[in-house]
This record gives sequence, C-alpha cells and structure tokens, in this order.
Amino acid sequence: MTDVATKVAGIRFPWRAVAVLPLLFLSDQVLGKEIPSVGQPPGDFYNAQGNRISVKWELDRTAVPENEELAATLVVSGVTNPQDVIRPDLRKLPAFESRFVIADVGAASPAAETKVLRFTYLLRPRNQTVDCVPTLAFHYYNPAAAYNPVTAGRQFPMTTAKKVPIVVTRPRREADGLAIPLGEPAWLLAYQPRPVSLAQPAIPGPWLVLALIALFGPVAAAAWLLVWRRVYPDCGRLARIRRSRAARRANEQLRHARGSSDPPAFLASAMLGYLRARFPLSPNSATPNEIGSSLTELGLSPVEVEEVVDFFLAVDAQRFFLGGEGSDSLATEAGTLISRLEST
Amino acid sequence: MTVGLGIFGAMLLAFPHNGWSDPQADSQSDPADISRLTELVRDSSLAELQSRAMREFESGSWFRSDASKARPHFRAAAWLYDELWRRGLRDPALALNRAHSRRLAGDLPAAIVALNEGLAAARWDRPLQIALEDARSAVAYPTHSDLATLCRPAPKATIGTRMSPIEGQLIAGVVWLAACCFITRFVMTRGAGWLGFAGLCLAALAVLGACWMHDELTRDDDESRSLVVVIHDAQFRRGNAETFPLRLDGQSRLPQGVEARALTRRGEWVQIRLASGVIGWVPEKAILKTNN
Repeated sequence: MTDVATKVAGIRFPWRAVAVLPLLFLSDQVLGKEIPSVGQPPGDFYNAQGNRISVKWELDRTAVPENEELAATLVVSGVTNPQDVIRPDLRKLPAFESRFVIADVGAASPAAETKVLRFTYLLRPRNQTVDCVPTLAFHYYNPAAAYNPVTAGRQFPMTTAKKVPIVVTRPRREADGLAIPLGEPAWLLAYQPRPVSLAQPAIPGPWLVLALIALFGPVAAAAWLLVWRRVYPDCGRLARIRRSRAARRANEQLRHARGSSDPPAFLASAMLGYLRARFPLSPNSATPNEIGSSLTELGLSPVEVEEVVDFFLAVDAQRFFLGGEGSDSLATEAGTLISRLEST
Repeated sequence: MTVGLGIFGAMLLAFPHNGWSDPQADSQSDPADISRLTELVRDSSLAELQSRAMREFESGSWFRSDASKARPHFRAAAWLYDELWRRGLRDPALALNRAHSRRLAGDLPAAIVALNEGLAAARWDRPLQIALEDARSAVAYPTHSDLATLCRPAPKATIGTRMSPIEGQLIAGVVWLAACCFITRFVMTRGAGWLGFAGLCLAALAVLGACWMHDELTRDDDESRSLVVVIHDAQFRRGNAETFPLRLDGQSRLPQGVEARALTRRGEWVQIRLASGVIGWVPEKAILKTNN
C-alpha cells in the first residue's frame, strides 16, 4: 500500500484502496453472484445466469406409439451458475401439459464447474394429434448487459428451445409381438379394491330424521328446565319477579336507596313509581290513604292494600319523626312487598 | 438365488392358496367371457361376487406389464362389480371399484359413467370426486382447439358435495339443540344475551337449510336430464342426420369420454347439451347412458 500512497501535507493517503472500493460494491453483480429482483421476467425464468446461454431439445426418437413415452432432454449451455438453475416444470406450461402426460426423470445435482445442464423428461403423448415437442421460452440473466450502455435494460434476454416435430403412431398391439404394459397412471395401477359393505343399512327417511331432530331439541330443553326448577325452586319465583320491568326497576332503586341523601323519601318514591307502573294508579294518589283507596278500587286484596298503606306510613314516620334511622329495614320490607305484589 | 426366492415369496403373498386358481392358469381362458361369467354368478351370493371380483382385479394387477393379459381380468372384475351394483348395492367403495376396473380395462367412458352413477348415490364422496376429475382429465381432447373448454364439466362445490345428509342432519341437530338450550336459559335468567345466542343459532340453521334447499333445487334442475357419455369419437351435428353441418365450426369430433345431458331422441339420433350449454345431435350408438 505504501508504494503507491502519496504524501499530502505529510499524510500518506491510500489511493489504491480508494480505487478498489467501487469494485467491492459492484463485484456481486459484475461477477454474477446475485441476480437482481428488479426487472425479472414474470415467467420462463429459471435462475440461469450467463453471458450467452442457448437451449435446445434432444429427443431419443421422433416417432412414438400412442401410450408410450419418449425421453426429451432440455440441454442448457453456457450457464455460469449451474447449481442455482431451477428445472423447468413442464407440467405448469399449458403447451406441454395439453400435449403430454409428463414424468420427470430424477437427476443428480450438477457440478459447480459444469457449463451444460441437461433436464430429462418422459413425455407420453395424450393422443395421435400431437405433432411436436413445442417451443420452450427460456429467460436468463446476463450480468454484463446491465453495465453496457448499448444493452442496458436487456439483462434478462430470452432464448428458445425450438420445437421438434414428432409423429405419434397408433398404439402397438399384441400383433406386433411385444407385451405392452398398461399405460394408466401409477396410482391407478397401485389401487387396491376397497371392501364393499354388503349389508344394506336401514336408513330412516329424511323427514323422520328431521322430525326426530325437531322434537329432540325442545324435549331436551324442557327436561333441563324441569330439573332446574326442581333443584332451584325459588329461582322460578325470582325469575317471574324479574320478568316485570317495573319490579326490576324498583328493585334496582331499592338497592341504591342507602346512598341517597334521604333514603326514606327515595324508598317511597321508588315504591310509588312501581305502583304507578304496575297498576293504573291515579296520578293524584300521593298520601298513604289515597294510595290505599286507589288500590282497593283496582281490586287488590285488603291485606295487601293494608301492607302498602303501612309501608308508606312507616316511611313517613321515618322521614318526619325518626330522622331516617332504620331505612335498611324499610328497603327490605319494600322488596318483600314488591315480591308479594308480583306473585299475585 | 436370493432374487428368485424373493419373487417366489412375493407370489405366495400375492396369491395365497385360499381356494382360487393361479392367475396364470386363469389367463388361459378369457376371464371376461360374459356367458361364462353369467353362468358363474347365477347362484352366487354378494360375498362370493365381491370375492371373485377382487380376485380378478388382483389378477389384472399381476399382469400389469402385459396389457393384453391384464385387461380381460379388469373387464371381468368390472362386470362382477357391475353385477353387485345391479343387485342394488349402492356403496361409494363399490362405485370406485367399478370405475377403476373399467378404466384399467381400457374403457374410459364406462369408468366415467360408473363414477357419475356412484356420485348420484353419494355425491359427497371425495374419492369418487377426485377419481372423476382424474378420468375427465384423461379424455383426449384435441390440442389445437378449445373443445376441452366447451365439453369439460366444472367440478361442483356445493354443500351437498361437501357433506353427507347424515353429517348435515347432525350439524342441524346440534345447532337446533343449542338454540333450544339458549332459549331455556333465557326463560331461567331473563338475560337478553341468551336470546341473542339463540337468534344466532336459528340464523345459522336458516342459512344451512337455505343452502341445502338451493342445492337440492339446482341439483334437480341439472339432473332432470339423463347423463350420457360419448363412447367413441362422434361428429357433433346441428340436426339428426349426417347431412346436417357440424355444430362446432372447425372443431373435430367429440372425443370418447365427453359428458353431456340428453335432451331428446329422434330416430337413431340423440340431442345433447354440452357442459358449456352448446346443443347438438350425435348418433345414439355413439353414447352410453347412465342408469341413475
């Protein structure tokens, strides 16, 4: 390094290193180690790389009887990355798939230094109208093209393996003196007959099954409900109480009575709201006696009317004489009263 | 020596001495001789028929390297499986055995017919569906025309081809039971959420029922016409005579294995509708009808 370094203001500057730096950045693509993803053709590109690649078909024969196979070898020459090249899948190419039943012939991975790749396929013509092994388009990456101003933009050129005419003759028969193997697919030849159930199962008609299904759901649900009621006898009554929206709302208010500034008044308001929602109580009924007479007119039993009146009197006593003491017991009494009225 | 013993062992395994003859000896007479088979199966039970059919199939497989010897055995197996089918067995496995026997006997159209008959009895059976698609792909359409597009039926993916009626009824039963339980729970607790769950279940049940109903209606519409399969290449004409022009301009004959629906019959001609909806006439002797 020191032999080419120049002294500038007493400092040795590494000019050679500076000159090599751009090459380090370019080396991967110039030397062909990496294929850029930008500009790759959407199809017919098999990762082949080289400056001048050519492809061609080689066939073991050009006349093949129907139901027999010919070996077609795709020869790819001039490849610089033989181990990266993907074997073209002819089964995905309609031109081949429509003409042939295709079987791959396994091959060992190529040596790193080889320049010629060979991919062999066994092609069985589908019928006698097949007249050629069709043209195969083959794009490859030319690393030199990208850095040549004349060829820039053509770094993925295309070459083709030209189509090869073939003749498909009639199938060989026994008269030809040869034993012809069955030409069916391998999976079909390997098929083992499945045992057949000889007993005809008695399958009920669909309407009977549907009727059974339709009945089973409600019957099971009803059975569950009966068991539940037997196990939790009070739950039914509670559920009925909850059924009344007015009762549910009143119970909700009773639970919040303790937190209010005037619990007895709050309880009285909740109870009165319940009675007005549950029964068509007159809006003018506000005092205990008025409420009692309204309920009596509505046909409520005297015992229940008396209990309601007693409740409102107790509330008034709490509010005006006891100063709000004992509102908890009033709330419990209100809850019990609502339950009793709901159960009537 | 070792190889010889191995082959002998394989033969013993493949053909145990369970009362039936050596396939080599069987090959001396034509196993597919119909009169002989008819005589053989006249008083045979279903089990005997099946056993005989399996033996013929195995004999055919044994001779797979020589088609001229293998195919008669497969034809015999197909005939025996057909006899089981004629006697009323409607098992998907039997339909598959029939179809594969016929295909290995070299009769692709008959295999397609057998698969369609099997699917008419068990349209949800996946192996039958796969086998039919494979058989359709083996039909030799010309490479230089779009006849395959016009003739090849598209595989159907409906609820009826995905699950059997028993599976559908089971799912419906579970969903219905869940809906009933959710409603019961609502009665117990009065929680509106349970009603929501019940509503979801009923909606699912309605969707399931609608899918089944739609499937049945479209199936009835499709299958109101009997299915026919072209058994040898036939000209597809505009009318019921050789003098009428070809229906598909520039197209070659309909290859064997093409499926179509028979619309009407006049003289010795049948009017058919291809999968693409194209309607034309073919000679009656060129088609094979399914017995659905």
